[in-house]
Amino acid sequence: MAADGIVGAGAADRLSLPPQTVSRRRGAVGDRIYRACVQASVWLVLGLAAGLVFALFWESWDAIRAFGLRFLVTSHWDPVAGEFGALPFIYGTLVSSLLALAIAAPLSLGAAIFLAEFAPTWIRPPVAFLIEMLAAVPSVVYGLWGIFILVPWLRDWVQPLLGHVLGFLPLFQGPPYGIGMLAAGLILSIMVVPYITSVSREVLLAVPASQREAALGLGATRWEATRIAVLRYGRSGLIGAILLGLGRALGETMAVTMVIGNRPDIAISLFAPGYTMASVLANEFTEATSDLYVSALVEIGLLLLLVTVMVNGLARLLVWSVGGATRSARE
Amino acid sequence: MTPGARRLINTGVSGLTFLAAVLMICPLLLIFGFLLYQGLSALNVDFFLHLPKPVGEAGGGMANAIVGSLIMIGMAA
Repeated sequence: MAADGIVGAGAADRLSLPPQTVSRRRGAVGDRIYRACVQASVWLVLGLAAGLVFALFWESWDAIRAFGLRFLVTSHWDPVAGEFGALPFIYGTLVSSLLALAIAAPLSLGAAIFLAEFAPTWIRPPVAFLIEMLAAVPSVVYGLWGIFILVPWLRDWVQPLLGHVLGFLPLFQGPPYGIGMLAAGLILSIMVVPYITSVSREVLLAVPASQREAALGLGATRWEATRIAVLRYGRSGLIGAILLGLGRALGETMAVTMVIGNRPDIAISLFAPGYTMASVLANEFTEATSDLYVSALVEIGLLLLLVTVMVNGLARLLVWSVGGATRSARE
Repeated sequence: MTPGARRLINTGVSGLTFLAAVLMICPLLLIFGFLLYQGLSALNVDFFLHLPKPVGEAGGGMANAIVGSLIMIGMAA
């Protein structure tokens, strides 16, 4: 094939070709089969993802047709009467995830800066390893620990104290159940921390050394060099890391279900129980009696999928813009 | 800003980031501590080999859950 393209050489036969062209023609068939197999697996994975989205649309079509946009803005969730409004779940998901980010983002960025800039070289591998081990704990174990250790601590110590000191804010009013939005936000923040830390550390390490050296050469202290040279350069990547954490927090199911109280209501107070989209799916899917009920739950699943895909896609783009696509492929 | 103040800010920030890193390792240690403290007493050979006993009886194991998890992971990998 390659030989056929040689112009002006006349008819190319086997004996007149250079040796490497001959062996390329012999191995070409195996190469083509290999390439076809690998391409088939790529298309298979993409097809599975597309099939997933299609199946979600198909199952939720009844609910979409019955409720339309009302589904997103009403808060009446009444399976017995056939009235489904998903606003409490959307609210719960957003509030728990944003609370988790508000707690986790500063701590994770601080730890990432520590690991990338300030820590002595011998301490970096163990600390990084320990922080990444947080990602290895299963979600259910987080929920179990939450119920037995975190919730009693919140109920007996933290929430009474917060209600006493900051009770004038509507955020901290109401009876200290322990179980509620605050517990869910705290557990989510612990689960999200390893993701933000490891991606932020990669982003900070991807900043060219010349930036840091230039700042240090001008007489900056270590923190000033970091602030001026590294953080400004890697800012979009750090925002991408935080968004990746958000994407993880939005979809988290088991740990949140066990500590959020599962009450489909919108309440301002962080002490009050709530409900998230993932939790309602986990709790009510097996007990959904009517077809409309199942369809409404699947529509919630579809909403969750679309939001999570958008957030993750945006996060990936931001992270790649700092270090290049090859760097994030190492994750 | 005086050089002394800049150096102080540098030390302060490096201390804060160190604190953040330590604070993040704490939940990991707490979780492992909780699991070991509550669960270690139930860890014996029975746990891995026997099936669960009916509710209310002491003893039994979790063999079905362990084997089920292994089968699922084996299929996925």
